[in-house]
Amino acid sequence: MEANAFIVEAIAGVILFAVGVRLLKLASRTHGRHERLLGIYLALSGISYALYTIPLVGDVGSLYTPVTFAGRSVYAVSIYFMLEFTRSVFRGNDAWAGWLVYALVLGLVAGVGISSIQGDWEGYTISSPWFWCEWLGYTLAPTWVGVEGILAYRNARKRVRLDLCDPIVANRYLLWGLFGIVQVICSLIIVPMYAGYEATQYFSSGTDVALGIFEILAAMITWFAFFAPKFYCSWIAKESPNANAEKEA
Amino acid sequence: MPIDLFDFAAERLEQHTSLDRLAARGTLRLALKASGLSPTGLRVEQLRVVLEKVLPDELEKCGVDGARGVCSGVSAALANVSVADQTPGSVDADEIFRRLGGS
Repeated sequence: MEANAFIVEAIAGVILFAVGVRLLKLASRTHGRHERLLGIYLALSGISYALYTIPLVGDVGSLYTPVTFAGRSVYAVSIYFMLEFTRSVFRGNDAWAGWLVYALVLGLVAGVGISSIQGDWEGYTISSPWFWCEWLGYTLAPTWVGVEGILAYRNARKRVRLDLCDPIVANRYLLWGLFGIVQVICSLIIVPMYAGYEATQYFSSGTDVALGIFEILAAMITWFAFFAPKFYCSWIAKESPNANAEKEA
Repeated sequence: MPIDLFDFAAERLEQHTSLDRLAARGTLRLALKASGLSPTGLRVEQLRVVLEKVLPDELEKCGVDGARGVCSGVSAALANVSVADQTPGSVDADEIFRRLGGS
């Protein structure tokens, strides 16, 4: 990784982990399944980011491959919780959604498993078809998150106008959708980044910086969505269509 | 006996307007869509708001006379109904996303 770009990834990991732990604490209070699913997903993502960062902070010698593989595996596991959260919140009664979860998890397991058996423990070999199997798993999952989040936001905006939905909740849908979109962008950046690495054994600074920016953006979005500061909540409430209608009246 | 709210409202519309079954259900669906709601998992308080604020305009577009009165009648009839439990497996996404904020 270029220069100190890994610091950005480490910060993103800490934010994701902190938001995840906060949701897990909430789940222990509410006994809510969805808080738990999302909390596990975000906490595991944070751990994965940290594991990817460790070999870049200092020379870990022979531990480079095992630690990177651990980061890769933890991230693949975290995707299951992201998928299950999305399915159970938005498509609980749709059989196709269950099949989509199975298919993407199968893709991830096959991608990580078979490429590792073939010797690519880090998962950087873009010329391998199993890389793409794994890539599709962790790219289509946030694509689904993005689509469901934005669709839910579109309908929630209509309900906000009728006073049937809290504007903060509507905004949370939007942020969750944006998180999915930003994660997809990260997956897209990985393609040229890994292609360059396979050719030169070096991550180019351009893709490295771009990935860092979008990773920290995604982490910040989760912070605003699930740990929103008071000023932000006040601003959203003030900007809601109902608040504007009251102002006009 | 518990009833499905969408079916209940659509049947009342069919009875009290000149709309046939298909048109009554279609108009109600359009009103729900304009309100960001779905026929499945519809709650009484949501349907009341749709009947008050959205459906009258949709019915007027269909040439129904006294649309507000019809909607008020359906809304009043809701007071006496026992609503079916939510579809098994269905969840209230708004409630989940509200909880995720920690409130």
